[in-house]
Amino acid sequence: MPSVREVTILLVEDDPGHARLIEKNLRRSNIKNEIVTVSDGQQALDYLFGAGDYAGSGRASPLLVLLDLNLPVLDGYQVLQRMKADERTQRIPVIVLTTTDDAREVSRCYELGCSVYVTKPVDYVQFSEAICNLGLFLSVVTIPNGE
Amino acid sequence: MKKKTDARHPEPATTEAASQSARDALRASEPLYHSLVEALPQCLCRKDLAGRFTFANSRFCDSLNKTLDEIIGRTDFDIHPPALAEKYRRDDQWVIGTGQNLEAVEEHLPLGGQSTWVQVLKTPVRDAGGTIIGVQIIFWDVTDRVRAEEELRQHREHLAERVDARTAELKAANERLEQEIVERRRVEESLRESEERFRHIFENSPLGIYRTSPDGQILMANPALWHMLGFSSFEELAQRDLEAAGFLPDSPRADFKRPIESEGRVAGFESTWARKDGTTLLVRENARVIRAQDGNPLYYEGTVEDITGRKQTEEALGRRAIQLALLNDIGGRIAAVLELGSVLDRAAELVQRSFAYHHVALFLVDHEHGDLVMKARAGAFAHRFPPDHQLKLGQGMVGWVGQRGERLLANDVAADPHYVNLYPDLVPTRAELSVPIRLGEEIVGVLDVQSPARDAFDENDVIVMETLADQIAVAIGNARLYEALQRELTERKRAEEQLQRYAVELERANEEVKQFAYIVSHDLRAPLVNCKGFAAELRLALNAVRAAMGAALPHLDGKQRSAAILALEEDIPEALGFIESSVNRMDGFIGALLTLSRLGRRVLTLETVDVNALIQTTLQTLAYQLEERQATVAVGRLPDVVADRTSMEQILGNILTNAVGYLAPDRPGEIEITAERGSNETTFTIRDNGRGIAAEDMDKVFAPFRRAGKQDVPGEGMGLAYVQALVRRHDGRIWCESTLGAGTTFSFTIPHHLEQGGHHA
Repeated sequence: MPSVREVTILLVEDDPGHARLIEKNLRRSNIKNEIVTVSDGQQALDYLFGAGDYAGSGRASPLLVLLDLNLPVLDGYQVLQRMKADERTQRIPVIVLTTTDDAREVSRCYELGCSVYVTKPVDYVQFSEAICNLGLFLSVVTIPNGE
Repeated sequence: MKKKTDARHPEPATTEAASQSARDALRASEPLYHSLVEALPQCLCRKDLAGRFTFANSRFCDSLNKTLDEIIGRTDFDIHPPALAEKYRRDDQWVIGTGQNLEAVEEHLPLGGQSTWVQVLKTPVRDAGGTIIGVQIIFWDVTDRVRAEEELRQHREHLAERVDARTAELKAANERLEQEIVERRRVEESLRESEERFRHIFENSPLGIYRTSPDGQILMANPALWHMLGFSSFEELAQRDLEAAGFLPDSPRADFKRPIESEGRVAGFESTWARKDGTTLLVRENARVIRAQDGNPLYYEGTVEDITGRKQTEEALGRRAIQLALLNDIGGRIAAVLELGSVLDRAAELVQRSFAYHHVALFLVDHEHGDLVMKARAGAFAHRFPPDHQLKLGQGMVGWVGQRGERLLANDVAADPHYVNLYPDLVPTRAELSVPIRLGEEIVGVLDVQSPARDAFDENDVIVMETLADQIAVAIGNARLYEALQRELTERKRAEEQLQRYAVELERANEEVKQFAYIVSHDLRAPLVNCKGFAAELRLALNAVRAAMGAALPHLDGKQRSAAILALEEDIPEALGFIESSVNRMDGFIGALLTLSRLGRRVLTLETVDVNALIQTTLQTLAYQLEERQATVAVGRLPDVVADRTSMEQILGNILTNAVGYLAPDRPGEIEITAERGSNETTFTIRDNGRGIAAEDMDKVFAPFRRAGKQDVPGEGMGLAYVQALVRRHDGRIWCESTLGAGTTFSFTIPHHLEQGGHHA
């Protein structure tokens, strides 16, 4: 059974500031995993399915996706939908991490099969706490091995 | 068998000598006589007065089958049966007594033998002195003769019978003949009477009576007919060949012959005939065909009625009926058709068709150009006028009528000075009637009808056309009103459509604003997260730098040190402070906007809300502030409403919070809450005696982020914006009246239609 350390985190975030802040806070909460950042939904899918820019890059380690919703090209919902519709990716845990706390969006994401929905608080203290908690969470969850 | 009496007739002696010589002569002649007697084919005998036979010739003896001796001296009673002997005796006695001859035919019926007939001649026998001394009887068989006579008699009788029968027949025939003669006389008499009667009828009938041949010869015609046709005698009329003359082209004789030959008769057949002078008359005929044995028509017999006058009356009546119907129809159509063009076209068409005028036109006056414009036309010449045909006012009859407003009737246009025929070759008008169409004082047009016949219009037509013109005027009036109304409606419709478009646009704009507010609030948040995040990171970094600088400061010179201290202790924290406070304010605005946009998106749950209870709950939350401000709240009897409970809490809560918050500090607060249930909505009114709002600030009251007056009350300036959004979500209205320094009254409505539960914003 692979340990959490071997898990690669795919951070799908179009706002590079957010991406950086998330990464900083994850590292601060002692997450040592490899973090791959992509800035739109299409890149996320390319990475997941070894297509486009990521064609041929063999990737054996299990994955965990941190997914923003408001994304260019393909948005978070579409990425989530594609992942859950494909046998290869449907078991990859997806943590939606977004600014929106609209109840309808939250429930829609869970309906589409996201594992966790986390709202980015505007308040940075809270934001940091949230990411750190997420880090703690990630350090204890078990990720299925990607086939 | 008859016994014969032989008698001598001595002749009277004149002289003795003569008698002697006579006797001598007699003696001398006795044998001669005897011989003669014996030779006679007859039977002869003589009897004396006592009836005794004195003589008999041999034939007599033979007939009795006796000898002379057996006979002489005997009587008939000795020889014959007593009945017969009696008869002979009686006859003898008659001859003796009378001295006359007795001639008779007697039947002799012997026993067992065939009856025979004898001719008997009995004569008296006189002596010389003339005294009757006996009877001489001569008889001979006449059976054959009697038989022949009998046959002859019988034959004669038969003939007589036949004659009688024939006579009777003849008589009967004669009687019949006589009767026939009487009958015939009677028939002849009645025929004569009938003929006389017929002739009388024929001569005096007001109906024309005729007999014509199929090939058009007039065989008979009564005076009424020739008078009807303008002839002075039958002979004159008979000159006319009906196949060649007498019928007008539009009702040829063939039209008459066809039905009469096929049906054998016509009844009430109407046609137009020509008089001698060429004028026409309308006739109605009843006629039948008389056929020969072979079925071929021999001639037509019929009666003719001149119905020209009646037809005219009928036509007049019919026309009046049509006119009335037409007036009614046009009246009806005027009610139904409000478009002027249709009304005029219809009127022209109906008039033309109903009255058979060959041209009908409707002109409308164009006052601006002084023209009469032909707006509708009907009839054979309608197409000959250009579509925009117009006349100058005053031009021709129509122009004159259009200008003067008086009707003009020309029953002979040739004689009317006003008449102008613009198309003399095209429109062969003989009579024209133009009537003005007046709407109140205004002459709006002219109704013009024309006829190819002279004297086509009578007073009745004038009345009808004038009535029609009045109706058309009404139609024009209606149509004008209708058109005005139509224009108004069109404009209104356009305005409504415009409004509708605006509403749609507003709706869309509103939707866009909602969407915009939502997106903006989210999209603005993302950079805010960065601002805040990196500001915090910066502060972390600053703290790290300051910690490091503690050790480094002593190594710096005074200027460097003071600059570093200024930066680390003042400038950077100050900058971070501004950044953070601004970001926080921005975050507040965005949060408010998000709340507002969510209000517009939230699904309302309509239910009956007990507003009284809701107010009490709200007032409890405000109890501390009310106490602080020494404010009293008067709550009237508030009706329940159907609304979203949460919305009602927020609406009333916000308004009341505002009312309490902006009370005037220099006087005890008074807040009054009332409500009134109207026919369509319930109006809530919250009145306070607070500081009021300046007139120039009134438009900011419901605007987001706008706060009126003195900014001494905490708040984002979003409260009333939320309230307005919520009221509008309920299809209600909200408004505010205020006097600066005196107080403010907020009113809002919740419509009743929410009670039907059909409305979800």
